[in-house]
Amino acid sequence: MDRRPLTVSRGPFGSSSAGEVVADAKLLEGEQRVFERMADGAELKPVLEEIARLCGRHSRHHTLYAVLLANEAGDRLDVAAAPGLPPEYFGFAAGTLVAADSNPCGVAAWSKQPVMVEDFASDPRWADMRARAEALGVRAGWSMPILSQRGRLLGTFAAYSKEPARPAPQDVALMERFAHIARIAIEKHHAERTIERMTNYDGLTGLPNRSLMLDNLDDTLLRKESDIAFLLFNLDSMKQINDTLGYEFGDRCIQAMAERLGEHVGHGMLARVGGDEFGMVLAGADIGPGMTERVRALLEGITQPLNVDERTVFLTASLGISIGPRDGADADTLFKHADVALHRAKQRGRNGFQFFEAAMNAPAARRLALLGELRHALERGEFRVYYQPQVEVASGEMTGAEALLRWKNPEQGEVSPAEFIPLLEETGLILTVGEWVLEQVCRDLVRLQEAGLRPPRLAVNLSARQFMQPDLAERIEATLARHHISPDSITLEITETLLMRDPADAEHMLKRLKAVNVRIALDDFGTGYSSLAYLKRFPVDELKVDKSFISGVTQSTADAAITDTVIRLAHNLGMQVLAEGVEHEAQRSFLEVHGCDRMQGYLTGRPMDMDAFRARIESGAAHGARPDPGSHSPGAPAAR
Amino acid sequence: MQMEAKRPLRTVLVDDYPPLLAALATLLRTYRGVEIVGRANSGKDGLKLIDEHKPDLVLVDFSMPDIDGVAVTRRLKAGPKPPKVVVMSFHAEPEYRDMAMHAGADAYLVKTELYHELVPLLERIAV
Repeated sequence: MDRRPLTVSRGPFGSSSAGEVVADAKLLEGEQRVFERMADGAELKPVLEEIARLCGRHSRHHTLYAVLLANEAGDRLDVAAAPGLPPEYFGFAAGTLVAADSNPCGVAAWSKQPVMVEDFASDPRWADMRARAEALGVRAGWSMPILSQRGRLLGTFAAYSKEPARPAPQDVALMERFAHIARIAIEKHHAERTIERMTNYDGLTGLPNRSLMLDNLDDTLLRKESDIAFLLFNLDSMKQINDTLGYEFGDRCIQAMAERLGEHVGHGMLARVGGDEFGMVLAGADIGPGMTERVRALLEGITQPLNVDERTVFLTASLGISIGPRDGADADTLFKHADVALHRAKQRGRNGFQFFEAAMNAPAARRLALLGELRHALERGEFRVYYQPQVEVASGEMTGAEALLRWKNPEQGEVSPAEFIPLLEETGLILTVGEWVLEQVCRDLVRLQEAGLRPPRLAVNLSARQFMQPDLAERIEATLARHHISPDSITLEITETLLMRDPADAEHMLKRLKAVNVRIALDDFGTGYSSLAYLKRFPVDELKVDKSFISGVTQSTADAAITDTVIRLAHNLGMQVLAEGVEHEAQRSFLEVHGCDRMQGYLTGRPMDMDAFRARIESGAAHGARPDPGSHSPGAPAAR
Repeated sequence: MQMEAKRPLRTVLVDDYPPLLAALATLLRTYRGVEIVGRANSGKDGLKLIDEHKPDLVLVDFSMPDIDGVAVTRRLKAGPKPPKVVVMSFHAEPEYRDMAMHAGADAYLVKTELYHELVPLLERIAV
């Protein structure tokens, strides 16, 4: 059916110049009111309704006006305002196709020309509309396209009359005048939407951005309808993808992941909150007891292969979760806490998740568990003493070993000394455990001697609490005597920090220990603040240069200078020097060139249990001094 | 009454973080003043257990997703013959302590200090 407007009613209506609107004061006043409402930021629909109503009041016939808006694609129209028209009209006009064989509005939109039907009842070209027109009680229908300044279709402005009517020039002029005002309202609305999109949405994925999500989160929290969960995702390997496959490909991965997450968000809200970070807000039935399972399923979904540009990529994400309001009553706090949880999830390895509450609880629970287990560790025989060789830098001969405490608990597994030794200190258990270590070292020495071996001197660490025991020297002397151990086969290692806490007392205690005839080494030298005045008065046999300097001697001129200076200082004060944490041959040769006496580190042996240590002593006795064959140094080979 | 004071406090532990429950149980295993009669992973289960066992003492976590420690305290203290209630949390801020105490808690403990403070506190409460 050809309904092209040229054949419908071109003639006198082709040009609006034929008609003129009598712009009386009332009309101008009404128009001004419309513009004021627009300026006040009123919603589009009420403004369009007011335009339609105002137009109706100033038309000659008893005519009702409507505004239809085009969708984004410009292929369909929907009613935005139709004051006075019966409810059926909305049904008839909803989803009007923009096409040559559509209803008058659809044709006007398609042709971008006015379409004027004088009488649906008699016009054969609109016979299929007759029943609908009758149902609405309408005989005439005129429609005028609303076009943007650039000629893009925005919608249509329609007029309906109960009587058959041929539009007079002034009718057309009136419609044109109001279609123009409607155009301004619609374009303003579009501009506002664009601005909103640009400020609130992410350009790459079209998802809400961080600021919109935070606003939304705050609104949801204010409504207090239920608990809400805020999930913060961080894609684990985006940097790698960007670096190896390029940013464009990386961007498409982000888009694909946004789509993937969208499949899981349900009634929640998904946002892109950072380069490789997404936020998700869930509420109501989505959270609660089944939440953990849901989160697991979500992470599972993320790890499914993604097809991007005919490539298959596997992405994983780490996830931090905070629950409002218990973890925070406002969006910023919830976000921050989800970030804390995310950080912890990442620490525990990728592709995992962590709740904020648990993240906060975990250290407290671990501390409590370790403290609980530590109390019984000694009686249950959970401690072991390991030995790390100390060798002559020049010859490689093992002339000592440091005794190191190890703890393996059936519940907690192997616990790092960095974690449990402070707890031993805190609880005071270090006193009994420290005594046990010295006893164990004595027993080991006796065993080695009884096996006919010549064990090297063994070094035992003294803690702060032990050092403050007034009868420490006597205790040590008694222990050594009980095992028939010669005091000069034992070195006591005391940290620089501990000695300098109260140097006068320390000097006194050191002199008493020295009187027992044990050897004394100053541990971690260079990490604390030493008073050289005291250093020269301390009866110290050896300075242990901290590993933080040794690790840098071959790269940093400063570390090299410090190490060199400490070696000279020690020698000038009549002390020996031991370098800690030696891992590479290059470090060893630096130490040799600079006259360092001894060293300790992975290059010449990791801490080892008694059996391995004994084997090491035996091999040393059989083959002379050699570097540790079992050490796997990450750098240069240990051969010399 | 004096004879009864020697009897261990029958205790229910409520916390939604299982490792903390386990650690608490380890800590209290060797303390004679307490006998653990039940452990629960949520406020709801906790209230059910408490109703069942009528304990002398409840150690309850401040933050739980279903019924939090403050709500649990309030409910227990509204009933007849309420148990002693200790609310535990990782929050050291006074606001949290106040919330727990206003709800009727007998004490508030910061979780990082449990090891050193719990037993002395139980000694005080048992009297």
